[in-house]
Amino acid sequence: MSAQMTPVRTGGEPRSPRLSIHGLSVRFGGLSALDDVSLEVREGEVVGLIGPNGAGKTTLFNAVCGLVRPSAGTITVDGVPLPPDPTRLSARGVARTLQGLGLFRGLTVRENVLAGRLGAHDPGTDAQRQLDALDLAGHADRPVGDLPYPEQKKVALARALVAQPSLLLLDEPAGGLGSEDIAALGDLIRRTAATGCAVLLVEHHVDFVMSVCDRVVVLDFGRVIASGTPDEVAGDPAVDEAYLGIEVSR
Amino acid sequence: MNGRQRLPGQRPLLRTLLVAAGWTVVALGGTFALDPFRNYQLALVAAYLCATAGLTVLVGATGQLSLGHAALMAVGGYGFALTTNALPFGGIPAFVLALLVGALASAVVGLLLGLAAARLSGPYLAGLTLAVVVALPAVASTWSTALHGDQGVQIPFEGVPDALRRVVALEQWQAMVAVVVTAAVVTGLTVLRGGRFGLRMLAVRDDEVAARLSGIPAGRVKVLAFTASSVAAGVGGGVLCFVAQAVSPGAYTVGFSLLLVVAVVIGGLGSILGAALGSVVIVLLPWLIGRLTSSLPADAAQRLDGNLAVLVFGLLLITVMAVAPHGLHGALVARRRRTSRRPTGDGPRPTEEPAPRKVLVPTEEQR
Repeated sequence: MSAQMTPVRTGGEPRSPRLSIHGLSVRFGGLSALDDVSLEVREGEVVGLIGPNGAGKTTLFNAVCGLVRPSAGTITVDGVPLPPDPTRLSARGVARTLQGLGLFRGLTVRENVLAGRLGAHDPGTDAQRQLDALDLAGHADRPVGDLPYPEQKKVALARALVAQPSLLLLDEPAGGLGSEDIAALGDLIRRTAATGCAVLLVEHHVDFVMSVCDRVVVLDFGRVIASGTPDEVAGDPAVDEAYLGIEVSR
Repeated sequence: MNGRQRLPGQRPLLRTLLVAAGWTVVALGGTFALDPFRNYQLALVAAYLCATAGLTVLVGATGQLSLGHAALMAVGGYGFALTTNALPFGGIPAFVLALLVGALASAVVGLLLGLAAARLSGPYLAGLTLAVVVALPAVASTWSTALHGDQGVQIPFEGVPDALRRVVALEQWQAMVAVVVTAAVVTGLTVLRGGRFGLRMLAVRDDEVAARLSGIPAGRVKVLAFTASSVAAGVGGGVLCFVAQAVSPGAYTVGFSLLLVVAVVIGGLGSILGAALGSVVIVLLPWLIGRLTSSLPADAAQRLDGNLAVLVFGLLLITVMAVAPHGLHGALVARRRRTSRRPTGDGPRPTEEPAPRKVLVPTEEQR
């Protein structure tokens, strides 16, 4: 049974861009992973980044986080260029989850969440608040590896959210989750965006992306091939071609 | 909420200091119950514990494997010996100053190694640190004017201070000094490992990329951990020099360096108590084997001398890893947990009902 999720569409006054990417290119030797990519994520907006495998989605995240060096282009948050150092991202209000969970396997749930807030004045209280908010307090002192996979996903989210980011990058947050958990995840993302946080998510689960995102950007072979509201993107023949590999007459 | 919430594993500083002081007093009292040779062995255990405690924090908490901690002990030992010989005064002030210089020297070498260690991992780091130990005799020979080559550097005999000479024998005095210094090192490492820095080290060990994305400067954490571990090893070298009244490259061989690693693995990686157990093993086991072989015919005893200890250490390591993969301390902790979980009553065990499955994040209605 597919999860029932209500698409959220933004309206009213245009909001200021939180993340701005202009002309971003990343090359690995002779391979062009990203080619002249531009996109914006505004305050309180949820933007989905989709595309077939190898389209450059995670590379874009890595470029934003300073894990790979762009060969061209600019990346700014609130109009200020991001430092090319991942350790300084959280100080700029940027948090990211990783595709493969990226949990600290030797630590407890509480310690994992704390690790996302160690630079704060009182990380213990902040972590407890986040554990309570995501209903993780009951597992707080268990080793994180003992938890079922959906709960581990929740811990990864808690670690990203405990820093109270203004820009949240989610790398395949719905991967490996059942329909019930995906619906709950969508609810969390929408609630996070409602606080003003800009959310950019990479996801293969197209139904989830279409239901939770305000806008969708489609990448293929490192280039933006479509961008717009979920309805606009869903009707774009270039997207069908990229995903299904069939040539669609224009 | 009033005040900051304490981090997991973080104990109040005052409590840590009081516990350390309590154990130190117990150990100092224990020296009165030991004969001179046992006090000498206690001093050796204390000196080795400085190095193994630093090593276990480094390997267990940050995942950086150093096979060169014997060289870092040697740096501390040479620093201690050269400073002691250069000072115009003796006594406790000279000891403290020489120990600080030894620690500083090992900190500098450790910092340089740590900078390289931050870019290396696994066998590459192990190889680099091993090369440092291998190079030690060549270094001592190259600068033989100062380091006296294979002969090493001797320090003047410092007996028991006049005030204690009537009640304390030389070996007991050495053991007491070693215990106090080691207590300070172990307390420092315990404080370092607890709290924020400890969590940073563990996070870097488990997933460096995730740690960096969480704002943890992985490179700086690794360098600091390596430097702190080197200081601990250097202090251990200083204490060993104080006990042996000499330092030479022959005492800090590749075999000894590997023995330090064996000690922390047998004791339990990451555990300071495990490092203490491992240090006791590496001091007592060769002595026990020596006692056993001395009862054999002279020819057999001569052939087994030195070789049997290596074989027994190898067998012990394999056995401990097979029976208690988390080392002696890990086995003790597991046993304590099993004992505490064992039901005490004769009544039937309560049936465990599976908890209702929870969704990823509760919605407002589910709350």
